[in-house]
Amino acid sequence: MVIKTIQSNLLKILLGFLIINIIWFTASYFSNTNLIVNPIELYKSLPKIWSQSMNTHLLASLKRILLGVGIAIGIGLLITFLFIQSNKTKLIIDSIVYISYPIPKLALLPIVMLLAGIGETTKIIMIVLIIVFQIIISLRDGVNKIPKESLLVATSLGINEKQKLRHIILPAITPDLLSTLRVAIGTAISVLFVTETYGTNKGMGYFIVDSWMRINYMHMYAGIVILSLLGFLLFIIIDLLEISTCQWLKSS
Amino acid sequence: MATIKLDQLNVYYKKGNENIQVLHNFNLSIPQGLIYAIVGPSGCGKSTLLYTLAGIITNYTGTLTINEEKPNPKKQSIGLVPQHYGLLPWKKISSNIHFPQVIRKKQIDSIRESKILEQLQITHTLQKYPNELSGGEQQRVALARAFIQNPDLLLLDEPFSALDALTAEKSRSLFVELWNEHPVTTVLITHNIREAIELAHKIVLVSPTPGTVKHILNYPSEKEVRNKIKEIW
Repeated sequence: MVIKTIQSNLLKILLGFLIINIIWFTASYFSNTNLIVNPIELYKSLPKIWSQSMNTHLLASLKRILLGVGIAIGIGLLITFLFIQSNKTKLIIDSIVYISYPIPKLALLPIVMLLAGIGETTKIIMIVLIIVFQIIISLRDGVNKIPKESLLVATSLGINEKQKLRHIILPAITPDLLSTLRVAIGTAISVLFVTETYGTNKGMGYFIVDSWMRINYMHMYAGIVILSLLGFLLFIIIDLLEISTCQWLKSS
Repeated sequence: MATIKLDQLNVYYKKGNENIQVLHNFNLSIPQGLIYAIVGPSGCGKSTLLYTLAGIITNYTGTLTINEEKPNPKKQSIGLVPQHYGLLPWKKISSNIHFPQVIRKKQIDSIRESKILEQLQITHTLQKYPNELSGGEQQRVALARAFIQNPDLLLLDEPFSALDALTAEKSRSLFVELWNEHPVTTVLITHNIREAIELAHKIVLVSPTPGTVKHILNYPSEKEVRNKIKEIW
């Protein structure tokens, strides 16, 4: 089952990569300007661009994403834990999430910058702010989906809070958490791109915009490809986590 | 095995600001090693009774004892089989079966376990997940989980009602075989009169809500049960 899933995912990856590159190559071939670079040329020069400075930019971005996503998951899990404690905490959390979810978080950027400055903290706060609500909502839905009778059986066995978290809550919310993370990581990278265009000289967002300003399209495209590959790599990690922890969903 | 005593048991649940009574002055004494079937109309509090016995519902007045102690899931070993079996979908059958021992931090009696699994014909399911099993198999896994823990008290909440007639018949006969080998004090909730007659030593007829004991029948005939039911429902 696991091998089959990996094989099918690999096939999807190869096919998708091929189709996108054919479209890109066709567009560059028929384009009369140098605005769309030839992907073959780009892949050839990628190792050189990478060795110049791109790895440090990538590491800076990766650190921000991992910190932002990690903090958002931590907050999400903590709030989920509070959510299951009582109907009162449920009501309070539901009300806050309901009213704050539709607020466009990117519009809060000026306020966050005023309060936290233009450094690292703001970049991470923005990632957390934008994805934490998606995570809370999906975890809350995951908790609500726990079969009531499974909880009854567990209670009749005298299960304690720690055991409940380990044997019931965490396995039950894992599929929802992973599928939300897949969306959230894409969002986090987009937010990061925006926030890395100011107040820093490290990060893929900075690298891409800086190359663009210097009309170095080869570097700009290389930056976009590497940032996309980063997103893709994180995607694969989530896929692998899903395959190893949610086998029960695939079986039928 | 357990002796159960319920004396003037009143159970309530909260709906808004209202306290709604589900069971009213419920009196019953169940000696150890017998099967008591609780029969009553929908909403009369049968399942509430079961979950109170399991120590899940604690909002009650009156006396309820299992071996002269209040129901306490941490102290007593209670095997609960809900209507839809309550298996954990994310655990393989082997882990579902071992779940009570893992929670109670008790040793697994592997000889008892393999005997019960064989008897219930589910040895082949151990490496599967619940959603890979038929309804009948899931039901037998839930029975195995309850019996393997060697419970003081077995609580069955309409355990055969979600099965088709033939599968239910097979499951019932496997249950009887298993119970005869491991007789345990059992409370069976059912609305199936024939099932109650087939499985139980005594049938307790409960009034419509708030439920109270109306008759306790000893190995009754179907006709006798139906006549009594006509009187009270």
